[in-house]
Amino acid sequence: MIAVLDSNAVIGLAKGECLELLRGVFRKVLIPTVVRREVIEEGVGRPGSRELRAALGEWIEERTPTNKRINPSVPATSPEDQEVLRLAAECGAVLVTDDSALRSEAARLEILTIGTVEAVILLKQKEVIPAVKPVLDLMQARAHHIAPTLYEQALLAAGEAP
Amino acid sequence: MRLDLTIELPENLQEDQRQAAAKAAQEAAILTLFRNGAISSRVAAQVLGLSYYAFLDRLAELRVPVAREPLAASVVEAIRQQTP
Repeated sequence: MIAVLDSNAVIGLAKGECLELLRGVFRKVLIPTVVRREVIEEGVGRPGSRELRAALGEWIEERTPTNKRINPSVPATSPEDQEVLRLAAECGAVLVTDDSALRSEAARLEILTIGTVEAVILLKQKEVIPAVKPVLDLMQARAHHIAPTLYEQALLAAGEAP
Repeated sequence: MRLDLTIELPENLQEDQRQAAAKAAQEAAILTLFRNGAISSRVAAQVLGLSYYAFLDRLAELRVPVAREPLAASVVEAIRQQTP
């Protein structure tokens, strides 16, 4: 299965020190050009920038979508958002993003979508990490905040509820 | 699309205070749309004149969760079954 990462997913998973672990789950991991620009070029010295630079060309591939522009039902997505969606649609990939507007538009386009929290749960289910809680706590400690309800749902789903 | 608001403020406010209030009102409006999923983080950042990282920083300062959609447990299960 192929995954397409949005910028917030790269940044959030890097904060949780588990970005690289995705290579143990997905057959291929892609980013559109906009994600490289936002994270590597505009994010020098910021979380996720170094990690993405190291991964690019190694186990993450940059790809430009060739599909025609999707007509969004959510009017307030940007051309950059559309690039992320087009790449996921074109590759039949899972889109990894925490952005609600993108997730909503992806659902309309029948693109499978997960957020960073679900990606961490997947890592545990695939026995790549022993527990989700330390990773989620690290992400939050580094300002990738998770809604309390989602945090509780994640611990429950991972069998780590107190 | 524009949203023009008129907010009554106390008289004799200094101009920098009036501008700070206007900026805060604009940010509150954009963050409301973002929280509701009506606009993406990129659109919100562009309207506020911020870079992608700067917008994430602002969310963190305000403790607005980045990850906040309900858990997509069925999608996780579907992916788990389709990955080796």
